[in-house]
Amino acid sequence: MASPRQETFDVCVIGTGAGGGVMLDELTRAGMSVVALERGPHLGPADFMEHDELSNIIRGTGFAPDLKETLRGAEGETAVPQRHTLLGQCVGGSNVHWGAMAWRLRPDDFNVLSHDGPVAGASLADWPVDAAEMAPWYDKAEAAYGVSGGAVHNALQPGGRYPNPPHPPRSGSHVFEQGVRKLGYTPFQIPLAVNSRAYGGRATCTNSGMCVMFGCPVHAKASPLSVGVPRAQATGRLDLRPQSLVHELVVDEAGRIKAARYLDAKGQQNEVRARQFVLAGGSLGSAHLLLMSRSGRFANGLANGSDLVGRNLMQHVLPAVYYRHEAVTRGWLGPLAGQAIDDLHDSDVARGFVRGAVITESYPSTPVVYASSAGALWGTALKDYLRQFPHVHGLIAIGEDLPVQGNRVDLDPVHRDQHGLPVWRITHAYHPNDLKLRDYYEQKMTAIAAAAGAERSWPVDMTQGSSGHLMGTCRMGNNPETSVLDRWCRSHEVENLWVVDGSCFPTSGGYNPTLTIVANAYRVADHFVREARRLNLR
Amino acid sequence: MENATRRDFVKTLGICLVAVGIPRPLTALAAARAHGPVSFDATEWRCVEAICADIIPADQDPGATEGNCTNFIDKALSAEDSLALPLYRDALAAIDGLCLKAHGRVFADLAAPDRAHVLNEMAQGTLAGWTETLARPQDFFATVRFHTLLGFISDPKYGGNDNYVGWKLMGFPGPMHEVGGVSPEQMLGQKPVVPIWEVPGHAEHNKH
Repeated sequence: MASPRQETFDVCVIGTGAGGGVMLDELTRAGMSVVALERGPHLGPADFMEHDELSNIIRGTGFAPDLKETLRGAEGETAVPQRHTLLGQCVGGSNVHWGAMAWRLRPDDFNVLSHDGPVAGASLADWPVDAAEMAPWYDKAEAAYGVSGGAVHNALQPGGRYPNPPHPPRSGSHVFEQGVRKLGYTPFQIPLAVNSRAYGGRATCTNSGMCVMFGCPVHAKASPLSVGVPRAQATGRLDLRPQSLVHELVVDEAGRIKAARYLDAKGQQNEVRARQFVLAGGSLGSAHLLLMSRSGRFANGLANGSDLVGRNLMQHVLPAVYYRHEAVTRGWLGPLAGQAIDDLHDSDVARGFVRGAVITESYPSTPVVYASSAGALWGTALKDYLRQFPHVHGLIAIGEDLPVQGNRVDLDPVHRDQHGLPVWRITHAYHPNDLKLRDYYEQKMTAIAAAAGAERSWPVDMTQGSSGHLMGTCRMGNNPETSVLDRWCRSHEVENLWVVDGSCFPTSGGYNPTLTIVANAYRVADHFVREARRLNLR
Repeated sequence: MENATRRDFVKTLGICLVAVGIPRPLTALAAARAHGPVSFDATEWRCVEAICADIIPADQDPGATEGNCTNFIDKALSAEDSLALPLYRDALAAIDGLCLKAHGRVFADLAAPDRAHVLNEMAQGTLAGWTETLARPQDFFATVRFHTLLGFISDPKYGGNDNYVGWKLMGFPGPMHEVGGVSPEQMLGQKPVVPIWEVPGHAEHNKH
């Protein structure tokens, strides 16, 4: 059933998160007509004012009320229904409720296979781009997102200062600083995509501590919702359709995509036609849609001749430590503008594993998140655990996990969502290298806590087994047999299909991924626009 | 003792943490707050209240009773957590039943050491006389423990954290973005932060 709006758009962007938000912004700016289909609603400041920990963190109803997932450890097991991810399904995607830590990957993050060699059981690969090529796009991403900080965060990224000055220091950060300096490390403020002053037509941060997992009610935190979407709408060339769940990409006789079929808010079938399709549904959403879009020519899923769509799912490994200290943190105030160290990041096989992690402050900032670390305590012990909240400091390491073919997202054979669509099934187990990395950083963070003068410290699982950093399921590469996308995030097999989100990452890097997703999207958008102008795109 | 994390809570209840096709939860719960019990009868309420009071006891600071955690659980079981209501019903009946058998009194009327003993055994899974078939005793304990905790420190609009006792205990001032945020001086402790319950004119949070 065709939509009453019959026009064929230049571009259909599916998903409006970190990657999609850049694409719809850059392409409308370049004069193209863009229809953006977003499965979630268009939330805004009024909605964010009402959100709280129960809705956003425990129940997940603030950002993804209809999300169903199944989870298993390995092939052969039966996946069980369980909410695994911390996704935001709304205009702006998960990029709306992120913590806004904004990192550049290091040079060797782009060529892990060459740098560290193959690892048994892992499917390491080099990126088809390098740090030098990415550098100007990181510049653009940092400028667009108003990243705040001091000197650019490590000596590997020469020159330059961030567009926004650093945030005011946190009252507990001196504890971390003194501790790491004792150990010979160099602390620096976490680069943060949160306005430290009015910037880009957006307000400065108001320092409420309810930041990560919450939308920003004053748009001080950068996201497509606050940056790309309003700009695109101002061009008049964006047709933004929230609550539009794309469930199939329809292919013509020549093997090009001709239409996207979606269910609207009323559950009615709609179809939209475009010349080019940019899939930006995130590592789970994009792979899931491709796998649902089967046809005679693509029996294993659209653009999946390599059988790699959905595979190599990565989510980082996130060891964390809390420690009690006499200094008060005031972690319940302000954005995540704490301190970090990168001295322990370098991959060094002598440590017993490859790759590494940045270590950052991560003090508990809200009650339920903190209380969830209390294990099985009850009675007076639980009450004392709650009472000490103002004195609990935190550390987390963003550990690079290795891609493994068997870690994947596919279609659950049994469970369906409320529309009758197969639920996405996540198969994931950490590689032994990931566990060694985790143990090493847990030890190191414990040592930092001790050096900082902790009264006591204890490891915690801040993610409670779930993840907000999802990467890898449509990896980029130069060889169509070992990758889904080429170096421009264009499908090797379907000439008008681009996948521009975190699924293109061949490896995960030891940093939060969002700024890289944004920078890469700027790189791809630039190429896309040049190709359009050369009329290479039909 | 099992590690009662959020994930275990999910496994225990066998539910995905999604709204179970009900009106927007904020609305449902805020409305429910004005009424009496909606899930529990009087006997069940007494039993839950006594369990909550031992999970987060009153000492020099208020505990679960003052926080009205039972009300939170009662309302949650009528809304997002309705799948757990049969478990609660059966478990509470089982607990009172075995207490009557062993001591001639229901759980809420036991002396404190006897209550502590029952809860300890329940938490460890060694509680004699457990007749509940929907879950093991330690699974029910993990569930009611987490519910009590949520009831103590969630936003008061959900029916618990009465008079902000949970947030006061923790030193958490409430959602500062609702009152325009705080200044850098306040972030450094150079100026005091006014918690939400003391903010003049903040109607929703000024009820007590």
